[in-house]
Amino acid sequence: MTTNEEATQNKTDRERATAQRRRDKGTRKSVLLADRAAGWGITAGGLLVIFAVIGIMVFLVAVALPLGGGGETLEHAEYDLPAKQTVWLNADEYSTLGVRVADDGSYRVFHLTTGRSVSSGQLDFGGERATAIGGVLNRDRVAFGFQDGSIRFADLIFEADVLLQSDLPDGAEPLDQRDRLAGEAIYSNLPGEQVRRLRFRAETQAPVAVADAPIVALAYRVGGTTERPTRSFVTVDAEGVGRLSRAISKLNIMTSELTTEVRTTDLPPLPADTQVTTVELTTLADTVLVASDAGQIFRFDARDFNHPTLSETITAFDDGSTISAMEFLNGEQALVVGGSNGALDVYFKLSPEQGAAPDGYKLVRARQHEPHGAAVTAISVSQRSKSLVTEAANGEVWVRHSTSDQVLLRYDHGGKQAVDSELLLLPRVDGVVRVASTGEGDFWAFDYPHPETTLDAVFGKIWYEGYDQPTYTWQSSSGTDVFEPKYSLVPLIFGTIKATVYSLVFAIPIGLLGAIYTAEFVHRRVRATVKPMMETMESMPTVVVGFIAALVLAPIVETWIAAVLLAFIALPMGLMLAAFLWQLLPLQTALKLDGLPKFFFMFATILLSLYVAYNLGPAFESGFFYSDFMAWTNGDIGTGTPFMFLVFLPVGFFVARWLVHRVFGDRLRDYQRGLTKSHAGALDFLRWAGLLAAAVVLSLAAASALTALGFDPRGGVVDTYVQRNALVVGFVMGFAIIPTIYSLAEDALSSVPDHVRSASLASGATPWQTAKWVIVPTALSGIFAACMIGMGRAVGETMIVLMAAGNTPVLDWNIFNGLRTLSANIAVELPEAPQGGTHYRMLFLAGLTLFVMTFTINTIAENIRLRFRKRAFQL
Amino acid sequence: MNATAEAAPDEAPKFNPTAYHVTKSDQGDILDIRNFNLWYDDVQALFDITMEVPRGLVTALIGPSGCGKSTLLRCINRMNDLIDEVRVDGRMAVDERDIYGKGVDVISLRKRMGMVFQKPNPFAMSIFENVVYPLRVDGVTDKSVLEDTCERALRGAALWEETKDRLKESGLSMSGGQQQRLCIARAIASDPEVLLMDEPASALDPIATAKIEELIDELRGQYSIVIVTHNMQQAARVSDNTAFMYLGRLIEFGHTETLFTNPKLKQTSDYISGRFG
Ligand SMILES: Nc1ncnc2c1ncn2[C@@H]1O[C@H](COP(=O)(O)OP(=O)(O)OP(=O)(O)O)[C@@H](O)[C@H]1O
Ligand SMILES: [Mg+2]
Repeated sequence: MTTNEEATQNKTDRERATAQRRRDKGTRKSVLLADRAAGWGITAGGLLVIFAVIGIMVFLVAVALPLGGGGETLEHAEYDLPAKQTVWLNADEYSTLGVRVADDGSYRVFHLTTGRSVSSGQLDFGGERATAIGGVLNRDRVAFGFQDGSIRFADLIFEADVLLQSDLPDGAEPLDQRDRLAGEAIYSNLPGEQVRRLRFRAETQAPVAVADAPIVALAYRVGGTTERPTRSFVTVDAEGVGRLSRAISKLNIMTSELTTEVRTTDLPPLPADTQVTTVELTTLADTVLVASDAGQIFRFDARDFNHPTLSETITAFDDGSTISAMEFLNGEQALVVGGSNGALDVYFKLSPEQGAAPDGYKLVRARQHEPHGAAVTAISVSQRSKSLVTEAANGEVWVRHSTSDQVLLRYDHGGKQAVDSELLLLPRVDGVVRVASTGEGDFWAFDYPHPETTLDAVFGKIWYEGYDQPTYTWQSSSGTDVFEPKYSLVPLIFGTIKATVYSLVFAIPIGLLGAIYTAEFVHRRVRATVKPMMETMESMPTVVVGFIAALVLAPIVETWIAAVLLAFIALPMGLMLAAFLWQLLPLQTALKLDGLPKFFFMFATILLSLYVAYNLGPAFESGFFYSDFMAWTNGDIGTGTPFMFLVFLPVGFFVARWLVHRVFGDRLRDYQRGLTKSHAGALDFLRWAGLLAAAVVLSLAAASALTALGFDPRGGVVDTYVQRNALVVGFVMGFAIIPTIYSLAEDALSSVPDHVRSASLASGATPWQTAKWVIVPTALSGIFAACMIGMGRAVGETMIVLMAAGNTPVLDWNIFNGLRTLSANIAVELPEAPQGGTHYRMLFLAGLTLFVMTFTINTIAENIRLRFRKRAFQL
Repeated sequence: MNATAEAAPDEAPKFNPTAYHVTKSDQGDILDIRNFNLWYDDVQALFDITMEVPRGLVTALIGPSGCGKSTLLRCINRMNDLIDEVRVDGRMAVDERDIYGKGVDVISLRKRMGMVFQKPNPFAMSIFENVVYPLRVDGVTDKSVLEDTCERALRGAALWEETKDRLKESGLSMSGGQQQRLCIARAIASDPEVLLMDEPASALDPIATAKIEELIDELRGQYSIVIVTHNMQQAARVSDNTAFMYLGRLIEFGHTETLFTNPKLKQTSDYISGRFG
């Protein structure tokens, strides 16, 4: 009884304890807390990563965005100067002072933003009024033409010097935040207790008689050296006679006397009744351009100073409008022509193969800018860039950029008609001054940091000066001052794609075959050593790889190019031959030699094939490439037939195989099944040899036919050989990305569940059949992802292409030519790009493009991988 | 199993195969296993197995988990080759020809045997391609041959009615039971001499299991079947002979009915009556 009770008691106790425990099963606080903390921590970490990536993206965008960001007008000032016929304007480098020269030789210096008069004076015109004027691009050296056919030279010089704040004269009158006026000078505050003093000085030289009639048009250029400047000028007088003159000044050291000797030759006469509106002259004085009111441009070749010839006459506008303004753009390669119809066209002096003038050049209309609503009355070009400002008779004042073909800013001057005004684009392209003969002055200050970059200029074709046609060009710097940077990302994107494609062509087959080999064919222990080894290879510094490529591999490939190409044929052929020989072995022997001996046999085959390629290289070169591969690639010798034959060979093989299959069907195979292994092997070998022979015949026929049709691969994927080329990059970058592809593909293959593999093998499939039909298709998306990630690596790879690719930004599929990738370009040019400049921002845009490319590739790869994983789980 | 494996030899009376009554086929024996041992690395998994499998009959392998049934089954078509550290010794012959002899062509050996695994493992291909896979492997491309084989195999696996309209669909789109029957169809598609089945019904519901048992019954006579099962009733229902294995040893092998009603050894009767395992 008691025991029974005890038992009951025990039982209830136990039950209570169990119930208690069940109640307590609610998770403990500390566990919950840790769980939540971990949750937060992981979330925070994840978000941080996402923010970091987004942050980089935002930063890149933020730096690159101003490239397309336009500009703004900072201020507009209007003021009145004395009403006089304005003939010339100039301003100082710092956009502080302006000078207006009137036709009577009087000049006034004024403060640009306020219009406040600083000084004034008179050029020695001998009481005459200037009838024509010409000046150099800097606008500080000017020539005036007069009624009596004489010329006077003047220098309009702004002198700037930096003083200490303490040197500032007392009683200086503040004009604005920066500038103060004292006497005839402006003092501008500079950072660091300094001031810049700006003064104006003008000098006129004695008149030089050139013509007998009034001078109606004048162009003036100063070339030569600073010590011995050559001043050249072209005049056209009222009788229509053009003259080219050269003035050489000599300083007599003894007497300090400056003597000027002027030599003049007459230009060939213009057609009768030609009313000349403008003339232009190059600094070298080798080209004279004369514009008429009939809309014609006469181009004179003055390379021989004593015998200038008329090379070419063109009509500038299709509707025959008068040329109302004409100006060289900075660099004197492009001529901006404004018409009475408001059109503004740009002509390049090119040397085309066809249709050139007798001197080999031709004026070609390259751009037609947005036209004004009325006749173009004035053009002022930038001294540094391809910016310019144009004014039209209806009062429009437009700031433009010629190369990018855009109107940057539009001022309409309140709808007022333009009356005989002069226009000036400030040296730093940060303002426009316009002074009308009524004395009305306008000053616009603006900020347009990157006028040369538009979406079109960055990704589209642009017709640059000196080029025959619109091109995609990247050329960010050069030795000369008048150079215009060319920022097309297309050659760089192309180079990136080219390097990627060639390296993938090399890396994917090797990486994938390697992965299949280790995943499906070798002993697990071999795999356990090979795989980590390959993965270590991945971490090899690419700079070392690139260094070896550039200094060792590139010269070797160049020297042994024929042997290298031959190896591409010899290696697969050798391996196939070896495989067939192996088939000829009796079954017992073959099975006995399976394993290590077979492996060594394979290895020996590879070595032997390479040796054969090395030895037959010269014979191959003489047989297929007319003994000189380099000359052959140039297209100097031979035809494309042998090369096409080689390329078609594999295709021909498959075609032949397909044909045989069509004709014989399974009969051959059925017959073969009845034979012993060696006999079947022999038959197989014969079949292979037959197919090879058929392939040779087929591809030879195809190659000859194509050659007969005039097709030549040279000029396409093969062309002139350069030592650092895409082939070398393909090799070496392929070598660098093989581990990536190998390792990821191997993962994908070996994550195919074993039971699938077993099912195939148990069905009597060979390992190769299993790999081909079951494992690879199942792992296909993983393999694809591996290739994509390898591709992502190739796209972003920098050091190898930097060192081995030759860095030539050309659009050329030629495997023997170099390339420049986005990444290498950034690495090369970022150190020399001033921060915040267009170049700097362009490099960031290149970075952004690269980022987007790799990001896209990796995202696609990742998505495919996820799909793959889902599919793998299904199995 | 190591610890118990040491102890086993003392307990287990020496098994003398000849002392048992095995149902013999009038076509003789297909498999002959003699003193067969197998090691995974250093661990011995099969000890001195000796048995003959009669041609055209169903032979069941039973025994507690981990006793080596699957291992033995895999030895028959050398699927153990896939496991690198396996070592064998003794003799195993199919049709008098040594399976582990030097210079045996494993591929053609496997072609003579069909295998059905514990877990259905169809390929990610269409139902049709799944079934004719062994023929494709053989290089058969004749369409009519493939189609005939497909139909015959699917009928043989009692799957034809369900799948004849959806042969192009993925083999993975079927239910578990259908997939297992698909695997059976694949295993019999190449007309093998031996059908090896490793717990083919373990993942299936009773109805599917019944179908597969029916199937085995129908295949009897055409194929020599070796089937591993955990289900005593199943073994009793479908097999002609049953082998009981324990700790890597063949404990008892004989006519199924005899073995189940009148086991000679205590371990066997313990296992059959559910006292362990
Ligand atoms: N790949 C392997 N590597 C090492 N040991 C293995 C391997 N496969 C099986 N074994 C061992 O061999 C022994 C027999 O395993 P086996 O799979 O043959 O048992 P089984 O009788 O089929 O069991 P179950 O009924 O659970 O399927 C087990 O002890 C197991 O641990
Ligand atoms: Mg098992």
